Amino acid sequence: MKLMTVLRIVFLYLLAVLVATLLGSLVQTQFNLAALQAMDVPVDLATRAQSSLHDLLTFTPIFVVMVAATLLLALPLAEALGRIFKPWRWLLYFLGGFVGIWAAFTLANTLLPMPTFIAATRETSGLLSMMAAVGLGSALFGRLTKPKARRGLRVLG
Amino acid sequence: MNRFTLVGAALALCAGPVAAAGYQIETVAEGLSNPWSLAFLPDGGMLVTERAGHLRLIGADGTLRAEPVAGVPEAFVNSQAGLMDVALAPDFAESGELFLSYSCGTLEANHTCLAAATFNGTALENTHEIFRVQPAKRGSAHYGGRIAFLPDNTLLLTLGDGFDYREQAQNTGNHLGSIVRLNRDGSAPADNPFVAQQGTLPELYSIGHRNVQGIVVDGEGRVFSHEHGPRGGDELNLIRAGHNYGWPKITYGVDYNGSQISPYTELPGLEQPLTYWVPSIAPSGMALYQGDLFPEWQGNLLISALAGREVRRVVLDGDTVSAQESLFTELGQRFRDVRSGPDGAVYLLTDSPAGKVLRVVPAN
Repeated sequence: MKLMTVLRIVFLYLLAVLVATLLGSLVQTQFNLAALQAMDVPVDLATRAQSSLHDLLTFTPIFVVMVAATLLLALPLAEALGRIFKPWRWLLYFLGGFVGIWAAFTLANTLLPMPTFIAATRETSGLLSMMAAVGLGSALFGRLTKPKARRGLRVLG
Repeated sequence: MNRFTLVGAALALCAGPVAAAGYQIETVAEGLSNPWSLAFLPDGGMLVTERAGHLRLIGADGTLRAEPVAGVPEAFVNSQAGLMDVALAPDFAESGELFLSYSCGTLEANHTCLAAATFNGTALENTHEIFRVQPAKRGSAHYGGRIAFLPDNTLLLTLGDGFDYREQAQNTGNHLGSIVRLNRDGSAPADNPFVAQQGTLPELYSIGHRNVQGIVVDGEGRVFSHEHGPRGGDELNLIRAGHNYGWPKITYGVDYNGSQISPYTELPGLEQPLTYWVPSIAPSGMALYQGDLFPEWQGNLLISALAGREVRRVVLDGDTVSAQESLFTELGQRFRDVRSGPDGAVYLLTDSPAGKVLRVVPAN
């Protein structure tokens, strides 16, 4: 494999990790704020932006490690399965991140002292949204690394 | 009594200068499994709870009895769950009545529970549950579990939010994240602050707490409690009946993963702490020092800390904190509880599978 190809894959992996991490951070902030609003705590647009920014600075250093480890395992697996089940390549990539981060959440909740490491994942809706965020990052990698369709003279059909 | 001596000098820090005190530390008992609480018996002995579910007796001769005290209610033991506080009734010398807090149930459905029993000198008799937090919760974190008596002989039981149920600390329809006030039979006093409100539980005394593991009532009837914050935001509060202490609507801490729990540190209608600690010291027990051996500590709050590996001495000026001092840091121990003994000494419980009861007396 050429050096440029390797560097491109590494770059796209980092891009996928970044996108998934940022999306996940924004998602979990909104769920935390929604829980406060349900208790009649006022959350205006400025407060929402401030909280989202706060978490982008303070939540992402931990979450990016979880996402990076997840995609490091999930992306090769999705690629392998995608070569077998070509029509479902995008779906397999999405599911790779989606299921992979669920496994990471489960592992963290098992190993760490606190029952649930990320509060937004306490409820099914928050958990699925966080999983979808990482799924989208994973699917983005699949989309950007999709082999180009072979071009040539069509002699039949 | 197995004795060894450490000579320490206290270090003044934080809110203001305080006088240093020389002390020495003796081992009263050791080999205790995560000792959680201590009660002084009228005959000079002590009762010590072990989180693993045992109540141990240290006789008046200072000897730890080999066999646990029989008659203790069965506790659900896991992680933070287990046998917690032991508190003697104000009339214990006549009635022999004591109270035990503990977690009960299973990992899937458990509660903070409170039992009453009679201690006959060697065993508990007539042990019976008098209160159980509602509803059941899943997991084994944040039970609270400290007991204190008010001047009218009702008792306060501190509770936790169950960790995953933090929003329930604002819900007066359950007990999670509150302090409850009970009669000695477990019933709710008729003058409890939420009794008249529709849809609220009558036992509630204050709400908006995270995990309250220290409570004392001073000679004026003021109630001080402290609670664990998340990452930062441990609080010392002056508890007033019917008031809301804000968790999780307001907090000075952030979640363990770094995310914001609330963008607010204060909101209308929510009480501010007397002081708070960032980073966390993990306050685990509290005593009001009332002895004669350390005159300079008289009337101060002593707060044991797990993560802080210290006992924080808090000097009050009225209802404000005027100074703080870190004590016993040279031991490097996680402290589960601190008590002001009838002999004027300070007693410490170290949090360890091989925990100790330590006695602190003046160096001279």
